Amino acid sequence: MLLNSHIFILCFLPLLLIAYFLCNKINILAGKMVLVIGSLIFYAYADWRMLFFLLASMVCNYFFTYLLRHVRWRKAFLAVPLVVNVGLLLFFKYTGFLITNLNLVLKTEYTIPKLLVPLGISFITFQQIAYLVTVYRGELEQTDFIDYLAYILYFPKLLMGPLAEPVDFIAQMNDPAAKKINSDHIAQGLKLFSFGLLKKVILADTFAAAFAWGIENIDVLTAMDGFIVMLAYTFEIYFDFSGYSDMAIGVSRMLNITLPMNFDSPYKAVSIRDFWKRWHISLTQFFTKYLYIPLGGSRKGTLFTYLNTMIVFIVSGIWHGAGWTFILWGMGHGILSVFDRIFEHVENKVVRPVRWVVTFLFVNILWLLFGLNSPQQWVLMLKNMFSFHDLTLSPGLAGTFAIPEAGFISYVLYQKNINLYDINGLWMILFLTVSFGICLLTENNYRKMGKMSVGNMILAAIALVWGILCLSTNSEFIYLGF
Amino acid sequence: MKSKKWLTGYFCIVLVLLGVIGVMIYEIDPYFHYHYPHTEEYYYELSNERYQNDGIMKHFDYDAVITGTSMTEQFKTSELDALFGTQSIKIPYSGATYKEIHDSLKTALRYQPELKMVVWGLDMNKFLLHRDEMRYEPKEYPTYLYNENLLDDVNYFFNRDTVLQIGYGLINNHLGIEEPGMTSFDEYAAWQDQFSWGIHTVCPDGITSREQDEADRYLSDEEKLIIQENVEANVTSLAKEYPNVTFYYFFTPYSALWWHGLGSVHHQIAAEQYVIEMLLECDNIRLYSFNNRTDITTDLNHYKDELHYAAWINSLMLKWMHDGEYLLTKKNYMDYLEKERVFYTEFDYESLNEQEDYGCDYYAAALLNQELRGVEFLNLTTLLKELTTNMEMVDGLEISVQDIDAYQYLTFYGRHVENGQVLAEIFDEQGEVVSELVTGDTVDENLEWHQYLLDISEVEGDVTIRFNGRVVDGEETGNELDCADVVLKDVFLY
Repeated sequence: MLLNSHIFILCFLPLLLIAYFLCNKINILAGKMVLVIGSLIFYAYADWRMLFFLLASMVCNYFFTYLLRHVRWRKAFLAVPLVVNVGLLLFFKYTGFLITNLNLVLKTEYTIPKLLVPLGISFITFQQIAYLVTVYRGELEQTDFIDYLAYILYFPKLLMGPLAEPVDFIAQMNDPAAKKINSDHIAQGLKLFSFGLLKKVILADTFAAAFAWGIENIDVLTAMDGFIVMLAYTFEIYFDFSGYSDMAIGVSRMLNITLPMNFDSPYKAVSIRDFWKRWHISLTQFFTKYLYIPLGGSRKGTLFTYLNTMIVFIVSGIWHGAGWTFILWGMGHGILSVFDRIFEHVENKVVRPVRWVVTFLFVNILWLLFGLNSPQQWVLMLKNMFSFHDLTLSPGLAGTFAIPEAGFISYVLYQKNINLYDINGLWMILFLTVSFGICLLTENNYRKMGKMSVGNMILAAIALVWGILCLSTNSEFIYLGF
Repeated sequence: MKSKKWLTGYFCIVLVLLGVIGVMIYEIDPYFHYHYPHTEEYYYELSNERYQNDGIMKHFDYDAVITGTSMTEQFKTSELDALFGTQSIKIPYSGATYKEIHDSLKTALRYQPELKMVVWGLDMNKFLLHRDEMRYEPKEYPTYLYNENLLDDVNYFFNRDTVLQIGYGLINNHLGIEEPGMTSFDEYAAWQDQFSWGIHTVCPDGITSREQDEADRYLSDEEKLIIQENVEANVTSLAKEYPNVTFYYFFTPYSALWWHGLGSVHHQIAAEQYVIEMLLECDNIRLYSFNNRTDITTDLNHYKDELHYAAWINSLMLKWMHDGEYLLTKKNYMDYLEKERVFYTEFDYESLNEQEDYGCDYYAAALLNQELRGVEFLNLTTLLKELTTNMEMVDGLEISVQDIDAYQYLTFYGRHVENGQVLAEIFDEQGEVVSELVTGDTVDENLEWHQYLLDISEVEGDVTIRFNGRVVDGEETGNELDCADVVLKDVFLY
């Protein structure tokens, strides 16, 4: 089930909230059972077969946490599940990639098996690792099985994060003060959820359509098209991911569990290192705590600091997806982060607007690599863009921004003798302006979660209704040539 | 602001907005999911087959159905009703498989006990599809409109496109752009004027020779099984289950170019034979094939591509079905198949490269009008030529025609000699212009003849036709150049 679906918003969420707070009146365990059962339903809704993987993974991992607490050879009992978890992640996500490259290098013809990749496996694996390491380090006072299930399965963060720290999460879940309905939290959660939903269905999906158009027409893009397509992907990935994170954090807030902040206006960053303190924060913190610091962090001299930084970013690239584009994207960010460290003093002397422009440009260029199908496509597109050979805007690309609502507004105004149809790229400019405004001028939604006003009440209500309407659209039965 | 007040306001706005939207959707019901349209209050545009057909079947009154793929989109229910005395609906599904049409017809048959006639165009390129194959992935269909589950109607109530569609309707009603009512079934899904017709459109690069696999004459057992399952499950099963309904099935008459592109005509005909033999087992199936009307299938002026024929072919097919022409029976189908085999295997397809592509697409319709309506064409050329000669007119000719109702088209050829317009006007008895054709000022340096056509299907009674040019006979190129801007020839009423 997705957070942005009718079934979730109109059925699952209200029923779960009612059940959770009613059962909390019986006792804390009953409330937690609601979370566990609800999360299992949430997970199984798309494909119940994936429950087998999830349940098997949890039973095995919990077995090892038991061993970690009660048996000697703790390092071995930590290493085994870590290897198995990472191994399974590699198996499900990277088998196809590995076989493709193997076939390419060895000129073999191994067939790629069709695997049913469990939803959210990347996030679930990292949560399992976080739990195991936390138990190993003795940071968790008690390792109750239901707590463990609720931590791993917790539906708001199950599929796309944010990655939560076990100690903090389990403490919140067991806090007796957090078992009653809190109208402040419900209001804050609804506000965050409503705006997150609109970010996803209006902004992210529109930019996604523009980027998809770009990929489809990659051979005929003008230089201007290239820049717009690049920006479109930059905004798509941000609004999509941060919109979903806002929804997840909002839902969790209603349940009185505060998930960590995941995005802190990342496109305001003035360096790549600054960007990673703002983008997918929970992932950065995970890598810092469970990879960078265990590798030695910055404690083993400058060279190892750079090396560890590169390792973290390459692993991050691999985690994001199975393909050379992701690995190169990770390497790109690694190199730029090392560059930032080396030239930090010089960079600090440069005025902020220049630093912002340079950072934003590099982030964009690397997002483009992330979004395209191959590094060759990326090189082709960059060559085309930076040749500046044609600075016209293709009507097809501009047209992707003319969402149905835009068409309706244009139609109504046309009846009043105001012709918007002839202004090429009007809606594109509007979308880009609004998006830059949201990213650069407004305060982060998470930070202003507690601010309640009549204005944001009306806007949030409209955002929710508009978002709900956008969850169902009509298929276009385009049958070329009938 | 206190969060309790915030929540109260928030829920009030959300519930009011969702409530208003919900009530509007139910009341207007643009896809007829709940009731017959309120045509006295709103305008309903029929334009979305897979969203509206189900509601049409469930909530309209009818006793006949026209269905099929895009091959049936140009049928006019008014013509069917005039011929058969029915009250019909048209529910086409572009690109549909037999399975999709079958499922749709099951709904119609279940919801409309009065249904007595089904017209279904069986596409010949779908014999070998799997019995359960659908045109689109299941998730692409608005199944919430097809089923009886009220819960998933949320996708109908809270749907951006549906809400905007209602918005457009209300705006148009408010501004008087559209009067309350509904698109007619004649117009629904029809696309005649959206395309060009003739060989330059169908095959712009010309027709080249293609090898036929003479050895590939028979169906494999596997192919037979696929066809059998497809036809039995989706086509004949309906006839068997509803013996009181007459099923008018016909093979959609693709152009000769489709046959040319087949790897093996023999193999196709083997499949067709297999299908025919299954269909002829049902007494309430009347099966037609027009493939041996090779004057039509080889005239690309009737086609916009290899498959799609023009609206006048649909009209003709209805007439033929009514008259029982080209009906296949157990007695004649083998002769029919042999004739079909001989023609499409031996035809010189490359000869079509020389075919004239009519300047006016409807000229092809005009030539068939005599067969369609039984009205003999009227050649006005000689009469007009005489008028030209006798009266020495250079800037206008007039001719009276009594009772023009039967004719559909006025056609002629013209060429510009000097700057001037080709003009044809039709006046009624009161001297009012009831139809006219005007071309732009053009000097045609090549002095080429151009084809002109005027649709006069709406013109009635006794009329006077006025031309602004001089009429000549045949390819005459003499002194007419001295005394006329525009020269006309071959003036016909069809």
